Amino acid sequence: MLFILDLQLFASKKGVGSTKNGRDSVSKRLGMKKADGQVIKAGQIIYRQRGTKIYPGTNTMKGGDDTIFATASGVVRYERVGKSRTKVSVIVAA
Amino acid sequence: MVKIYFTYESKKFKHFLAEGHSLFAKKGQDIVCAGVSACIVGAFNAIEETKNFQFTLGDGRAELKALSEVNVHDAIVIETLLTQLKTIAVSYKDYVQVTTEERS
Repeated sequence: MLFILDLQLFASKKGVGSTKNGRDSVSKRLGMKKADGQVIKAGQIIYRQRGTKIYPGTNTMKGGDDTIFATASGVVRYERVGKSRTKVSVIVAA
Repeated sequence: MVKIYFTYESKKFKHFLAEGHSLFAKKGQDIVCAGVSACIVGAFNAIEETKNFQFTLGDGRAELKALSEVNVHDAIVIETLLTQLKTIAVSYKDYVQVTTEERS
């Protein structure tokens, strides 16, 4: 046999490198938990966030992880503040 | 892409050249390259009158030059090689291109 077969004679030299990406953290399920007009009890969470996408308004407070929660039972109300801010309040039923 | 050229003079085989990389997949998994390599190396080993030819075989390059008249057996081997490579080129046209040239 004159020639020994190399089945990859015409394959490119460059192997396809492995990617250094492909990692991600577990999602934290942030976002709105109570919509505008929903009934809410004191202590319930309204909005999970990082930083203050939504600001606390009446009858609401901001927790250590920036979560907004209700401090009184009532109806959730989202309101615009200035040009680009939003705050959430709880309107206590009269 | 592997570019393959068969050159004939007055319908007689003169020259064969295959060059380039198929880039179908990474080395070790490139099935197109495997098919082309197997056909070419098989044909080179099937040639009877090896002294009538000049062989070149290297990474991404294979060449066969007829130095004198090609006998019937070797002509059939080369015809088979041409058909095999054309068959691969039909299925993998983005990775293999076969060109035949007739010189008078």
